[in-house]
Amino acid sequence: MTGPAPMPAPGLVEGHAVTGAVRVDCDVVVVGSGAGGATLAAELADAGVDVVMIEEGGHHPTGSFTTDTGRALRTLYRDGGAGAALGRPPIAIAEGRCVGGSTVINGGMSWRTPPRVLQRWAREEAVAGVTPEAMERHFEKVERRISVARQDPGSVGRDSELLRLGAQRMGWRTIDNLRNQVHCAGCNVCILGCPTAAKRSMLVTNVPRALSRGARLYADCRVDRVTRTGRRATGVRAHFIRPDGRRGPRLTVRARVVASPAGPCRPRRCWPGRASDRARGGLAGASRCTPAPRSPQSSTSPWSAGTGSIRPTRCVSSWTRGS
Amino acid sequence: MTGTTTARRVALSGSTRTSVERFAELVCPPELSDGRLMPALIERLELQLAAMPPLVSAALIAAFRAVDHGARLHRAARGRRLAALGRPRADGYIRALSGHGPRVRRDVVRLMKGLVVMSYYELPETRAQLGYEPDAYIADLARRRMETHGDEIRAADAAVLADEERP
Repeated sequence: MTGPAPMPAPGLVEGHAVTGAVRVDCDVVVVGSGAGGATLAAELADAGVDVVMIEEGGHHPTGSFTTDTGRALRTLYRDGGAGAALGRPPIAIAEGRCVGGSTVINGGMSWRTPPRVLQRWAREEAVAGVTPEAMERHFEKVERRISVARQDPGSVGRDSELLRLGAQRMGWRTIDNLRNQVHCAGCNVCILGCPTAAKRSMLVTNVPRALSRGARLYADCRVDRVTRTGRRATGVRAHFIRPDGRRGPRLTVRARVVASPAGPCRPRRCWPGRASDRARGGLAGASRCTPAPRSPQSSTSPWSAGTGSIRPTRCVSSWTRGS
Repeated sequence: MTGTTTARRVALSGSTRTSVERFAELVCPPELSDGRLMPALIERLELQLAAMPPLVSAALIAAFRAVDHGARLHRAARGRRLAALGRPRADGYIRALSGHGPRVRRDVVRLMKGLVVMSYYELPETRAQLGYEPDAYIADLARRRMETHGDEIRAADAAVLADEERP
Protein backbone atom coordinates (compact mmCIF):
# COMPACT_ATOMS: atom_id res chain seq x y z
CA MET A 1 0.00 0.00 0.00
CA THR A 2 1.04 3.56 -0.47
CA GLY A 3 0.66 6.80 1.36
CA PRO A 4 2.59 8.90 3.76
CA ALA A 5 2.85 8.02 7.39
CA PRO A 6 3.89 11.24 9.07
CA MET A 7 4.41 9.62 12.45
CA PRO A 8 7.50 10.92 14.16
CA ALA A 9 9.13 8.09 16.05
CA PRO A 10 10.28 10.09 19.10
CA GLY A 11 7.83 9.79 21.93
CA LEU A 12 6.18 6.59 20.68
CA VAL A 13 6.82 3.52 22.81
CA GLU A 14 5.37 0.21 21.63
CA GLY A 15 4.71 -2.70 23.94
CA HIS A 16 7.08 -5.13 22.25
CA ALA A 17 10.01 -2.78 22.91
CA VAL A 18 9.47 -2.52 26.65
CA THR A 19 11.57 -4.90 28.72
CA GLY A 20 10.74 -3.89 32.29
CA ALA A 21 8.38 -1.91 34.46
CA VAL A 22 8.11 1.75 33.54
CA ARG A 23 7.31 4.70 35.82
CA VAL A 24 6.68 8.14 34.38
CA ASP A 25 5.60 11.51 35.70
CA CYS A 26 3.69 14.06 33.68
CA ASP A 27 1.21 16.91 33.93
CA VAL A 28 -1.66 15.16 32.17
CA VAL A 29 -2.18 11.52 31.30
CA VAL A 30 -4.70 10.91 28.52
CA VAL A 31 -6.25 7.46 28.17
CA GLY A 32 -6.83 6.71 24.49
CA SER A 33 -5.55 8.21 21.27
CA GLY A 34 -8.77 8.56 19.27
CA ALA A 35 -10.82 11.61 18.37
CA GLY A 36 -11.04 12.82 21.97
CA GLY A 37 -7.69 11.72 23.35
CA ALA A 38 -5.44 12.74 20.49
CA THR A 39 -7.16 16.11 20.08
CA LEU A 40 -6.82 16.81 23.77
CA ALA A 41 -3.19 15.68 23.79
CA ALA A 42 -2.33 17.84 20.78
CA GLU A 43 -3.95 20.91 22.32
CA LEU A 44 -2.20 20.40 25.63
CA ALA A 45 1.15 19.71 23.98
CA ASP A 46 0.70 22.85 21.89
CA ALA A 47 0.33 24.77 25.13
CA GLY A 48 3.54 23.31 26.50
CA VAL A 49 1.92 20.83 28.87
CA ASP A 50 3.77 17.57 29.52
CA VAL A 51 1.36 14.94 28.18
CA VAL A 52 1.38 11.16 28.22
CA MET A 53 -1.07 9.24 26.01
CA ILE A 54 -1.86 5.59 26.68
CA GLU A 55 -3.36 3.47 23.92
CA GLU A 56 -4.44 -0.13 24.37
CA GLY A 57 -4.07 -0.96 20.70
CA GLY A 58 -0.97 -1.10 18.57
CA HIS A 59 0.60 1.44 16.28
CA HIS A 60 -0.26 0.51 12.72
CA PRO A 61 1.07 3.09 10.26
CA THR A 62 -0.66 3.83 6.98
CA GLY A 63 1.78 1.70 5.00
CA SER A 64 0.75 -1.40 6.95
CA PHE A 65 -2.94 -1.30 5.99
CA THR A 66 -4.14 -4.04 3.69
CA THR A 67 -7.49 -4.99 2.19
CA ASP A 68 -7.69 -8.14 4.29
CA THR A 69 -10.83 -7.67 6.36
CA GLY A 70 -10.01 -10.40 8.86
CA ARG A 71 -6.60 -8.95 9.53
CA ALA A 72 -8.03 -5.47 10.02
CA LEU A 73 -10.64 -6.80 12.45
CA ARG A 74 -7.95 -8.57 14.44
CA THR A 75 -5.47 -5.72 14.54
CA LEU A 76 -7.45 -2.48 14.45
CA TYR A 77 -10.75 -3.33 16.14
CA ARG A 78 -11.68 -3.97 19.72
CA ASP A 79 -12.84 -7.53 20.30
CA GLY A 80 -12.29 -8.38 16.65
CA GLY A 81 -15.17 -6.10 15.72
CA ALA A 82 -17.61 -8.17 17.77
CA GLY A 83 -18.56 -5.44 20.23
CA ALA A 84 -22.15 -4.73 21.10
CA ALA A 85 -24.15 -2.41 23.28
CA LEU A 86 -26.62 -4.56 25.14
CA GLY A 87 -30.06 -3.08 25.33
CA ARG A 88 -33.38 -3.15 23.59
CA PRO A 89 -32.48 -3.78 20.88
CA PRO A 90 -28.80 -4.76 21.19
CA ILE A 91 -26.64 -2.74 18.80
CA ALA A 92 -23.40 -3.86 17.21
CA ILE A 93 -20.66 -1.33 17.86
CA ALA A 94 -17.39 -1.36 16.01
CA GLU A 95 -14.73 0.37 18.09
CA GLY A 96 -11.16 1.00 17.07
CA ARG A 97 -8.36 -0.32 19.23
CA CYS A 98 -5.20 1.08 17.71
CA VAL A 99 -3.25 4.32 17.72
CA GLY A 100 -5.79 6.79 16.33
CA GLY A 101 -8.71 4.87 17.82
CA SER A 102 -11.97 4.60 15.93
CA THR A 103 -10.97 7.41 13.58
CA VAL A 104 -8.70 4.86 11.88
CA ILE A 105 -11.57 2.52 11.07
CA ASN A 106 -14.57 4.78 10.53
CA GLY A 107 -15.70 6.34 7.27
CA GLY A 108 -14.57 9.81 8.23
CA MET A 109 -18.02 11.39 8.41
CA SER A 110 -17.44 14.57 10.32
CA TRP A 111 -20.26 16.67 11.68
CA ARG A 112 -20.35 19.28 14.37
CA THR A 113 -21.91 18.41 17.67
CA PRO A 114 -25.57 19.50 17.35
CA PRO A 115 -26.57 22.54 19.43
CA ARG A 116 -29.12 20.47 21.35
CA VAL A 117 -26.33 18.16 22.54
CA LEU A 118 -24.14 21.09 23.55
CA GLN A 119 -27.06 22.52 25.47
CA ARG A 120 -27.61 19.21 27.23
CA TRP A 121 -23.94 19.04 28.24
CA ALA A 122 -24.23 22.53 29.67
CA ARG A 123 -27.50 21.76 31.43
CA GLU A 124 -27.02 18.21 32.70
CA GLU A 125 -23.24 17.86 32.94
CA ALA A 126 -22.53 21.45 34.02
CA VAL A 127 -19.89 21.83 31.31
CA ALA A 128 -19.03 25.51 30.97
CA GLY A 129 -18.33 27.34 27.72
CA VAL A 130 -19.99 24.94 25.32
CA THR A 131 -22.63 27.15 23.81
CA PRO A 132 -22.86 26.82 20.03
CA GLU A 133 -21.46 30.34 19.70
CA ALA A 134 -18.50 29.64 21.97
CA MET A 135 -17.77 26.36 20.22
CA GLU A 136 -17.80 27.85 16.73
CA ARG A 137 -14.10 28.79 16.65
CA HIS A 138 -13.10 25.44 18.17
CA PHE A 139 -15.07 23.54 15.54
CA GLU A 140 -13.45 25.62 12.83
CA LYS A 141 -10.03 24.87 14.21
CA VAL A 142 -10.66 21.14 14.40
CA GLU A 143 -12.11 21.14 10.90
CA ARG A 144 -9.02 22.90 9.59
CA ARG A 145 -6.71 20.48 11.37
CA ILE A 146 -8.41 17.35 10.04
CA SER A 147 -9.35 18.83 6.66
CA VAL A 148 -13.13 18.53 6.86
CA ALA A 149 -14.55 19.03 3.38
CA ARG A 150 -16.95 17.70 0.81
CA GLN A 151 -15.91 14.73 -1.24
CA ASP A 152 -14.44 15.29 -4.71
CA PRO A 153 -17.32 14.44 -7.07
CA GLY A 154 -15.39 11.76 -8.95
CA SER A 155 -14.88 9.71 -5.84
CA VAL A 156 -18.54 9.45 -4.86
CA GLY A 157 -19.94 6.03 -5.64
CA ARG A 158 -22.87 5.06 -7.80
CA ASP A 159 -24.60 3.61 -4.74
CA SER A 160 -24.58 7.03 -3.13
CA GLU A 161 -25.88 8.67 -6.28
CA LEU A 162 -28.76 6.22 -6.38
CA LEU A 163 -29.44 6.80 -2.72
CA ARG A 164 -29.63 10.53 -3.35
CA LEU A 165 -31.84 10.02 -6.37
CA GLY A 166 -34.19 7.83 -4.37
CA ALA A 167 -34.28 10.31 -1.51
CA GLN A 168 -35.08 13.14 -3.87
CA ARG A 169 -37.91 11.16 -5.42
CA MET A 170 -39.25 10.64 -1.93
CA GLY A 171 -39.21 14.41 -1.51
CA TRP A 172 -36.37 14.37 1.02
CA ARG A 173 -33.70 17.00 1.05
CA THR A 174 -30.20 15.62 0.63
CA ILE A 175 -26.98 17.27 1.63
CA ASP A 176 -23.38 16.46 0.84
CA ASN A 177 -21.56 14.54 3.47
CA LEU A 178 -18.71 16.26 5.22
CA ARG A 179 -15.68 14.07 5.71
CA ASN A 180 -12.26 14.57 7.21
CA GLN A 181 -10.24 13.87 4.09
CA VAL A 182 -7.91 15.46 1.60
CA HIS A 183 -8.86 14.49 -1.93
CA CYS A 184 -10.08 11.07 -0.94
CA ALA A 185 -9.30 8.69 -3.77
CA GLY A 186 -12.45 6.64 -3.27
CA CYS A 187 -10.85 3.26 -2.51
CA ASN A 188 -13.80 2.42 -0.25
CA VAL A 189 -11.72 0.59 2.31
CA CYS A 190 -12.01 3.24 5.04
CA ILE A 191 -13.00 0.62 7.58
CA LEU A 192 -9.79 -1.32 7.02
CA GLY A 193 -7.58 1.72 7.59
CA CYS A 194 -7.15 4.30 4.84
CA PRO A 195 -4.30 3.05 2.62
CA THR A 196 -3.58 6.49 1.15
CA ALA A 197 -3.84 8.59 4.33
CA ALA A 198 -6.43 10.68 2.51
CA LYS A 199 -8.70 10.17 5.49
CA ARG A 200 -7.34 12.47 8.14
CA SER A 201 -7.63 10.18 11.10
CA MET A 202 -5.89 10.93 14.37
CA LEU A 203 -3.15 8.57 13.27
CA VAL A 204 -2.00 11.11 10.68
CA THR A 205 -3.09 14.37 12.35
CA ASN A 206 -3.31 14.99 16.06
CA VAL A 207 -1.20 12.04 17.21
CA PRO A 208 1.85 13.11 15.18
CA ARG A 209 1.18 16.72 16.14
CA ALA A 210 1.15 15.88 19.84
CA LEU A 211 4.30 13.76 19.50
CA SER A 212 6.09 16.48 17.58
CA ARG A 213 5.49 18.78 20.53
CA GLY A 214 6.94 16.50 23.11
CA ALA A 215 4.00 14.30 24.10
CA ARG A 216 4.73 10.66 24.84
CA LEU A 217 2.57 7.80 23.60
CA TYR A 218 2.58 4.30 25.08
CA ALA A 219 0.93 1.90 22.63
CA ASP A 220 -0.06 -1.74 23.32
CA CYS A 221 -0.74 -0.63 26.87
CA ARG A 222 -3.96 -1.32 28.75
CA VAL A 223 -5.04 0.85 31.65
CA ASP A 224 -6.09 -1.23 34.66
CA ARG A 225 -7.18 1.53 36.95
CA VAL A 226 -6.99 5.16 37.84
CA THR A 227 -5.04 5.64 41.05
CA ARG A 228 -6.02 8.17 43.65
CA THR A 229 -5.16 9.72 46.94
CA GLY A 230 -8.36 10.43 48.82
CA ARG A 231 -10.71 11.91 46.27
CA ARG A 232 -7.96 13.09 43.99
CA ALA A 233 -6.93 11.17 40.87
CA THR A 234 -3.16 10.87 40.84
CA GLY A 235 -2.41 8.82 37.76
CA VAL A 236 -3.03 5.42 36.21
CA ARG A 237 -1.74 1.89 36.51
CA ALA A 238 -1.47 -0.01 33.25
CA HIS A 239 0.30 -2.95 31.70
CA PHE A 240 1.83 -3.53 28.31
CA ILE A 241 0.47 -6.23 26.03
CA ARG A 242 2.97 -8.51 24.33
CA PRO A 243 2.60 -9.25 20.60
CA ASP A 244 1.32 -12.74 21.46
CA GLY A 245 -1.27 -11.25 23.79
CA ARG A 246 0.46 -12.07 27.06
CA ARG A 247 0.57 -9.55 29.86
CA GLY A 248 3.76 -7.51 29.76
CA PRO A 249 5.50 -5.15 32.19
CA ARG A 250 3.64 -2.62 34.24
CA LEU A 251 3.37 1.08 33.43
CA THR A 252 2.75 3.48 36.30
CA VAL A 253 1.99 7.09 35.48
CA ARG A 254 1.82 9.85 38.05
CA ALA A 255 -0.04 12.89 36.78
CA ARG A 256 -1.71 16.04 38.01
CA VAL A 257 -4.70 15.40 35.76
CA VAL A 258 -6.17 12.18 34.39
CA ALA A 259 -8.32 12.41 31.26
CA SER A 260 -10.13 9.40 29.91
CA PRO A 261 -11.97 10.14 26.71
CA ALA A 262 -11.34 6.54 25.63
CA GLY A 263 -14.47 5.37 23.90
CA PRO A 264 -18.03 5.64 25.02
CA CYS A 265 -18.24 2.30 26.77
CA ARG A 266 -14.98 1.27 28.38
CA PRO A 267 -13.42 3.73 30.80
CA ARG A 268 -15.75 3.50 33.74
CA ARG A 269 -14.47 0.24 35.11
CA CYS A 270 -11.03 1.82 35.50
CA TRP A 271 -12.35 4.50 37.80
CA PRO A 272 -12.30 3.96 41.52
CA GLY A 273 -15.16 4.84 43.81
CA ARG A 274 -18.89 4.51 43.71
CA ALA A 275 -20.78 4.55 40.44
CA SER A 276 -22.55 7.74 41.45
CA ASP A 277 -19.16 9.41 42.03
CA ARG A 278 -17.91 8.23 38.69
CA ALA A 279 -21.03 9.43 36.94
CA ARG A 280 -20.46 12.91 38.32
CA GLY A 281 -16.77 12.84 37.51
CA GLY A 282 -16.46 13.10 41.25
CA LEU A 283 -12.69 12.79 41.54
CA ALA A 284 -10.75 16.00 41.75
CA GLY A 285 -8.02 16.34 39.18
CA ALA A 286 -9.84 14.03 36.84
CA SER A 287 -11.65 14.60 33.63
CA ARG A 288 -14.27 11.98 32.94
CA CYS A 289 -15.16 10.81 29.47
CA THR A 290 -14.63 14.12 27.72
CA PRO A 291 -16.70 13.74 24.58
CA ALA A 292 -14.95 14.18 21.28
CA PRO A 293 -15.86 17.55 19.82
CA ARG A 294 -17.32 15.96 16.74
CA SER A 295 -19.93 13.31 16.29
CA PRO A 296 -18.64 9.75 16.39
CA GLN A 297 -19.52 7.74 13.36
CA SER A 298 -19.38 4.10 12.52
CA SER A 299 -19.02 3.01 8.99
CA THR A 300 -21.10 0.47 7.18
CA SER A 301 -20.57 -1.43 4.01
CA PRO A 302 -22.05 0.19 0.96
CA TRP A 303 -25.28 -1.33 -0.26
CA SER A 304 -26.68 -1.52 -3.71
CA ALA A 305 -30.15 -1.24 -5.12
CA GLY A 306 -32.00 -0.24 -8.23
CA THR A 307 -30.50 -0.14 -11.67
CA GLY A 308 -27.13 0.69 -13.08
CA SER A 309 -23.71 -0.66 -12.41
CA ILE A 310 -22.70 -0.42 -8.78
CA ARG A 311 -19.25 -1.51 -7.76
CA PRO A 312 -19.02 -1.48 -4.02
CA THR A 313 -15.26 -1.70 -4.20
CA ARG A 314 -15.12 1.54 -6.13
CA CYS A 315 -15.69 4.99 -4.65
CA VAL A 316 -17.04 5.90 -1.26
CA SER A 317 -20.57 6.38 0.01
CA SER A 318 -21.09 10.02 0.61
CA TRP A 319 -24.61 11.32 0.89
CA THR A 320 -26.76 11.78 3.89
CA ARG A 321 -30.31 12.76 4.50
CA GLY A 322 -30.82 16.38 5.44
CA SER A 323 -32.42 17.23 8.72
CA MET B 1 2.85 -4.72 10.92
CA THR B 2 3.65 -3.71 14.44
CA GLY B 3 1.51 -3.68 17.53
CA THR B 4 -0.79 -6.21 19.05
CA THR B 5 -2.55 -8.69 16.86
CA THR B 6 -4.60 -11.07 18.90
CA ALA B 7 -4.56 -12.04 22.52
CA ARG B 8 -4.76 -15.82 22.22
CA ARG B 9 -5.11 -18.79 19.95
CA VAL B 10 -8.24 -20.80 19.30
CA ALA B 11 -7.92 -24.31 17.92
CA LEU B 12 -11.14 -26.11 17.10
CA SER B 13 -11.34 -29.67 18.34
CA GLY B 14 -11.85 -32.49 15.86
CA SER B 15 -15.57 -32.84 16.45
CA THR B 16 -16.18 -29.08 16.43
CA ARG B 17 -14.18 -28.84 13.26
CA THR B 18 -16.49 -31.41 11.66
CA SER B 19 -19.50 -29.34 12.72
CA VAL B 20 -18.00 -26.12 11.36
CA GLU B 21 -16.92 -27.70 8.10
CA ARG B 22 -20.39 -29.04 7.41
CA PHE B 23 -21.95 -25.71 8.28
CA ALA B 24 -19.46 -23.92 5.99
CA GLU B 25 -20.24 -26.27 3.09
CA LEU B 26 -23.88 -25.33 3.41
CA VAL B 27 -23.57 -21.56 3.68
CA CYS B 28 -20.64 -20.93 1.33
CA PRO B 29 -20.62 -21.25 -2.47
CA PRO B 30 -20.20 -24.79 -3.84
CA GLU B 31 -16.53 -24.15 -4.69
CA LEU B 32 -15.77 -24.80 -1.03
CA SER B 33 -17.09 -28.33 -1.18
CA ASP B 34 -14.12 -29.80 -3.04
CA GLY B 35 -12.18 -29.56 0.21
CA ARG B 36 -9.06 -27.71 -0.94
CA LEU B 37 -10.02 -24.42 0.64
CA MET B 38 -11.46 -25.82 3.85
CA PRO B 39 -8.22 -25.93 5.91
CA ALA B 40 -7.46 -22.30 5.05
CA LEU B 41 -11.01 -21.28 5.88
CA ILE B 42 -10.88 -23.00 9.25
CA GLU B 43 -7.56 -21.34 9.99
CA ARG B 44 -9.04 -17.91 9.26
CA LEU B 45 -12.06 -18.67 11.35
CA GLU B 46 -9.88 -19.70 14.28
CA LEU B 47 -7.93 -16.45 14.03
CA GLN B 48 -11.14 -14.45 14.00
CA LEU B 49 -12.56 -16.33 16.96
CA ALA B 50 -9.33 -15.68 18.84
CA ALA B 51 -9.72 -11.93 18.36
CA MET B 52 -13.17 -11.96 19.97
CA PRO B 53 -13.82 -11.81 23.69
CA PRO B 54 -13.39 -15.33 25.15
CA LEU B 55 -17.04 -15.52 26.13
CA VAL B 56 -18.24 -14.63 22.64
CA SER B 57 -15.90 -17.08 20.89
CA ALA B 58 -16.81 -19.86 23.34
CA ALA B 59 -20.49 -19.17 22.73
CA LEU B 60 -19.99 -19.27 18.96
CA ILE B 61 -18.08 -22.54 19.13
CA ALA B 62 -20.86 -23.98 21.26
CA ALA B 63 -23.38 -22.66 18.75
CA PHE B 64 -21.65 -24.49 15.88
CA ARG B 65 -21.87 -27.71 17.84
CA ALA B 66 -25.45 -27.03 18.86
CA VAL B 67 -26.48 -26.41 15.26
CA ASP B 68 -24.80 -29.63 14.20
CA HIS B 69 -26.31 -31.85 16.90
CA GLY B 70 -29.56 -29.90 17.09
CA ALA B 71 -30.43 -31.34 13.69
CA ARG B 72 -31.38 -34.53 15.54
CA LEU B 73 -34.47 -32.69 16.74
CA HIS B 74 -35.42 -31.61 13.24
CA ARG B 75 -38.15 -33.87 11.96
CA ALA B 76 -36.72 -34.33 8.46
CA ALA B 77 -33.31 -35.28 9.88
CA ARG B 78 -34.68 -38.45 11.48
CA GLY B 79 -32.32 -38.32 14.42
CA ARG B 80 -29.14 -37.65 12.50
CA ARG B 81 -26.74 -34.77 13.11
CA LEU B 82 -26.17 -32.10 10.48
CA ALA B 83 -22.81 -33.54 9.47
CA ALA B 84 -24.56 -36.80 8.55
CA LEU B 85 -27.39 -35.25 6.53
CA GLY B 86 -27.60 -35.14 2.76
CA ARG B 87 -27.59 -31.75 1.07
CA PRO B 88 -31.35 -31.17 0.61
CA ARG B 89 -32.22 -32.06 4.19
CA ALA B 90 -29.25 -30.12 5.55
CA ASP B 91 -30.22 -27.05 3.52
CA GLY B 92 -33.78 -27.33 4.76
CA TYR B 93 -32.60 -27.50 8.35
CA ILE B 94 -30.35 -24.43 8.02
CA ARG B 95 -33.16 -22.54 6.29
CA ALA B 96 -35.51 -23.46 9.10
CA LEU B 97 -33.00 -22.31 11.71
CA SER B 98 -32.29 -18.97 10.13
CA GLY B 99 -35.79 -18.22 8.92
CA HIS B 100 -38.07 -19.40 11.70
CA GLY B 101 -38.15 -19.75 15.44
CA PRO B 102 -36.96 -17.45 18.20
CA ARG B 103 -35.24 -14.27 17.13
CA VAL B 104 -32.16 -14.94 19.23
CA ARG B 105 -31.60 -18.22 17.44
CA ARG B 106 -32.02 -16.62 14.04
CA ASP B 107 -29.58 -13.86 14.98
CA VAL B 108 -26.97 -16.33 16.19
CA VAL B 109 -27.24 -18.40 13.01
CA ARG B 110 -26.89 -15.24 10.94
CA LEU B 111 -23.81 -14.27 12.91
CA MET B 112 -22.31 -17.72 12.34
CA LYS B 113 -23.06 -17.51 8.64
CA GLY B 114 -21.56 -14.03 8.42
CA LEU B 115 -18.39 -15.13 10.13
CA VAL B 116 -17.92 -18.20 7.96
CA VAL B 117 -18.83 -16.48 4.70
CA MET B 118 -16.53 -13.54 5.45
CA SER B 119 -13.69 -15.96 6.12
CA TYR B 120 -14.43 -17.67 2.81
CA TYR B 121 -14.44 -14.49 0.75
CA GLU B 122 -11.22 -13.32 2.38
CA LEU B 123 -9.29 -16.32 1.12
CA PRO B 124 -6.74 -15.29 -1.52
CA GLU B 125 -7.94 -18.12 -3.76
CA THR B 126 -11.53 -16.90 -3.59
CA ARG B 127 -10.49 -13.34 -4.26
CA ALA B 128 -8.46 -14.40 -7.26
CA GLN B 129 -11.33 -16.50 -8.56
CA LEU B 130 -13.68 -13.52 -8.33
CA GLY B 131 -11.17 -11.14 -9.82
CA TYR B 132 -11.25 -9.04 -6.68
CA GLU B 133 -7.73 -7.70 -6.50
CA PRO B 134 -8.08 -4.27 -4.95
CA ASP B 135 -4.42 -3.64 -4.14
CA ALA B 136 -3.43 -2.76 -7.70
CA TYR B 137 -6.51 -0.58 -8.07
CA ILE B 138 -5.75 1.24 -4.83
CA ALA B 139 -2.11 1.72 -5.75
CA ASP B 140 -3.21 3.22 -9.06
CA LEU B 141 -5.70 5.53 -7.35
CA ALA B 142 -3.06 6.63 -4.86
CA ARG B 143 -0.61 7.41 -7.64
CA ARG B 144 -3.17 9.42 -9.58
CA ARG B 145 -4.22 11.23 -6.44
CA MET B 146 -0.66 12.37 -5.81
CA GLU B 147 -0.16 13.35 -9.44
CA THR B 148 -3.32 15.48 -9.47
CA HIS B 149 -3.36 16.91 -5.97
CA GLY B 150 0.20 16.41 -4.74
CA ASP B 151 0.78 20.03 -3.73
CA GLU B 152 -2.42 20.27 -1.69
CA ILE B 153 -1.76 16.93 -0.03
CA ARG B 154 1.76 17.91 0.95
CA ALA B 155 0.47 21.24 2.25
CA ALA B 156 -2.12 19.44 4.37
CA ASP B 157 0.55 17.11 5.77
CA ALA B 158 2.76 20.08 6.61
CA ALA B 159 -0.13 21.95 8.24
CA VAL B 160 -0.60 19.09 10.71
CA LEU B 161 2.74 19.90 12.30
CA ALA B 162 2.77 23.67 11.73
CA ASP B 163 2.26 26.26 14.44
CA GLU B 164 -1.16 27.82 14.42
CA GLU B 165 -2.99 30.58 16.15
CA ARG B 166 -4.75 29.54 19.32
CA PRO B 167 -8.44 30.43 19.39
